[in-house]
Amino acid sequence: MKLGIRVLIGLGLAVAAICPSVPARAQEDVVAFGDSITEGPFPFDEDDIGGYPKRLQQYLRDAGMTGVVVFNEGKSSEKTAEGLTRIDSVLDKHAKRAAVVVIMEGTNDVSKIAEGLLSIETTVSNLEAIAAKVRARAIDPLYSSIIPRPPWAKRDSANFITYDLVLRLRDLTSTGNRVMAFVYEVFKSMAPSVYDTHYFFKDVVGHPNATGFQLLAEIFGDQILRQDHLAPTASWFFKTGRAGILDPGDEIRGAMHESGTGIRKSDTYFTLNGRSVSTDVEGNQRRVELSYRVTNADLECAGRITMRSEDGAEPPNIRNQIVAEFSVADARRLASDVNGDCRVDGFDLTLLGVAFGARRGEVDYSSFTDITNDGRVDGDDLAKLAKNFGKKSS
Amino acid sequence: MGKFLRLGGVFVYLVGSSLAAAESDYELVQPSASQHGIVLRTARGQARIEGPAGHSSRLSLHPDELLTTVAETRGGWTVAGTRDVDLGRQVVLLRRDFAGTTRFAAPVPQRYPLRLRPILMVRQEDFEGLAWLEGVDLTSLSVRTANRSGNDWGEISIIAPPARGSQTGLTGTVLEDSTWLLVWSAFDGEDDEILWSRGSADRWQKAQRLGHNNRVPDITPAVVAVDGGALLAWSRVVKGHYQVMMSRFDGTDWTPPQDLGPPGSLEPGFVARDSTMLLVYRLAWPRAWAVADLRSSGRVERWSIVAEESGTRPVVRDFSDSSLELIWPGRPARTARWEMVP
Repeated sequence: MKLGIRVLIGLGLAVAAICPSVPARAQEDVVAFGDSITEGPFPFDEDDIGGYPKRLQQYLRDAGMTGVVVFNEGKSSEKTAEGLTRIDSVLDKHAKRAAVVVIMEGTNDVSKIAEGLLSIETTVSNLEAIAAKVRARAIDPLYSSIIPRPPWAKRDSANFITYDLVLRLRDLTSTGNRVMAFVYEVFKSMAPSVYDTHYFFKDVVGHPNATGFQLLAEIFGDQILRQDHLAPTASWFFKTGRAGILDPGDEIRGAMHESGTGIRKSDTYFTLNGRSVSTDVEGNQRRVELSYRVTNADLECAGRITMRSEDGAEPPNIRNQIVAEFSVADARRLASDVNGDCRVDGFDLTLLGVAFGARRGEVDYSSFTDITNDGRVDGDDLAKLAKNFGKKSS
Repeated sequence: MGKFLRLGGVFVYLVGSSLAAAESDYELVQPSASQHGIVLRTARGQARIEGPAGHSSRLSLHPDELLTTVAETRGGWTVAGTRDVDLGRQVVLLRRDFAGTTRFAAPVPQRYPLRLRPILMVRQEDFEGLAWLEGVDLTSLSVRTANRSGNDWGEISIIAPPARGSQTGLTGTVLEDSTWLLVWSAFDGEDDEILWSRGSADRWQKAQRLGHNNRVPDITPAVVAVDGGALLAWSRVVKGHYQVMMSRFDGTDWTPPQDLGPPGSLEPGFVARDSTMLLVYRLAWPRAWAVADLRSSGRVERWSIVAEESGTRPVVRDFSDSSLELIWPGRPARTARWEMVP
């Protein structure tokens, strides 16, 4: 299938309901527009093959789009205000053959935002203006979040600004005919090990390495190919009432975003202590807000809250993410209650088995499974769980 | 922090190197108004003050400190910047005068964890006070000032409380009548607008928007005092591009904004020395830096454009009737010719 058609299917988009019929076009190429993370120069790309764009081209060709060309239009150190002008010459060059322009820019804005020189609102406005120019040439913009900054970055190493920018882009692309690749989300889901495996070793800006560029290529490639491997993402959560304690009458609220086949609202809800609760879910297939008022019946030993959602993929991608853990007044939770359902049973044993052998900092490690809190999940934790097996929390 | 070295065509990364920052890691900062031509060469944790004759003095900084602005003050200079602390940032100040180089405390109390963008308010080499942004986070910043009297700070004034979103790009100058003129950019719920306020000590005008609500971003203002008022330059989106705009403050109000740079011009900054007033700004694509020689009316007399990849602002010096010299960190100085405006 020609990329143009596939892209239009893919971008028209991962959620067919948004744009059910898009006329076919002759264009088939992809333009990768952005800063040095798109440019991907040596030494960051240890293999020196051209960052993610060349890898994306290979990924798409391997998927059957043998004629596709991905043009690298990354420009080192560019900020979005500069990109807003440069995009014109890029479009002049590629407008006849391009079907998609991937827009991944904003990393260099973050440093200026941190210094109080630029506003985050301006960065979002610039990105939207760049996308509008792409759209005006009858080309599909593919928005992208930026990658998280590693802990050693000079600015915003905790990703406060970067995440705020990502959230605003998620909201922006949840409306209208806009599609976003959830790059930040994929990288962040692999943290903290991702910084060792997918970033160039401690460069002070935070560039991907060859492995990171390959991951970027696959994320963009899947978006273009309409291969949805990503579950809806939990964006934010808060509750009313006392800090740290869950009381009857407290309202809990959260938002989830989706980049692919769309959120299935009927399969989206909060769970409290492992049980689903009757959650109000409002929004569209790209963004939903969940709300629920806590009742007496919900409160047992603890107040562990997850946001659970499925998308429209077959089989569905499922997110079941712990977003908060509160204390409940006058209640005590057993340390061996790994899944927080206020009883120690086979589910807890299974979870401990999955994490068995993991040490603090490793992907499989969880503080819930490290019952003895000694930094590793081992026989001591198993013994503690066995001792409490069958007990219920008061 | 580690460093790259290029050895025989191979990049070598030195982990945990204690080497000084590479020259290209530095930024060069010129005072917006200068009699002596000093330059602040600054990187995180390291800074030097350089004089026009080539002498330089190194400043002792904490690794989490970054100096961002410099002014020529009586007997030497004053510099300001910020220091990252747990969950926030503080303003740091140093000065050199006849008594030597000393640190001095920022105005107290700091009500909120984040303080940034310190602006030195200087008139005829007298350090008159400080303006800065302060808030809980970057989208809840207020504009604040404090006057300096001898070695003491006056009361802190809040010139603009937190707005509907970010307030950024604070800049300021001291006018001929000793009042302060502050200019910044603020998000109004739709886009960034240029706001300004004039005052002294605890008497300040209410912050006002410059011009009409135009529904496009107006960002990165720069202001400098001139005879009878001040010149303001900033970037505004015009027909899909940022463009440097100019307006003149006549002591009461502003002239209507006029475009000064071409489409794709942004990040303006003033350099005033002796009787010359220069405006330095970036050209987004093709990448270059432009320098406009201005009259105090804001009219451009001559200009120069230098193709340059680096987004780091250059220092402009040794400007003569026919040419000027631009310097980027870690590079040889480049000479450019003036082009007269017909």
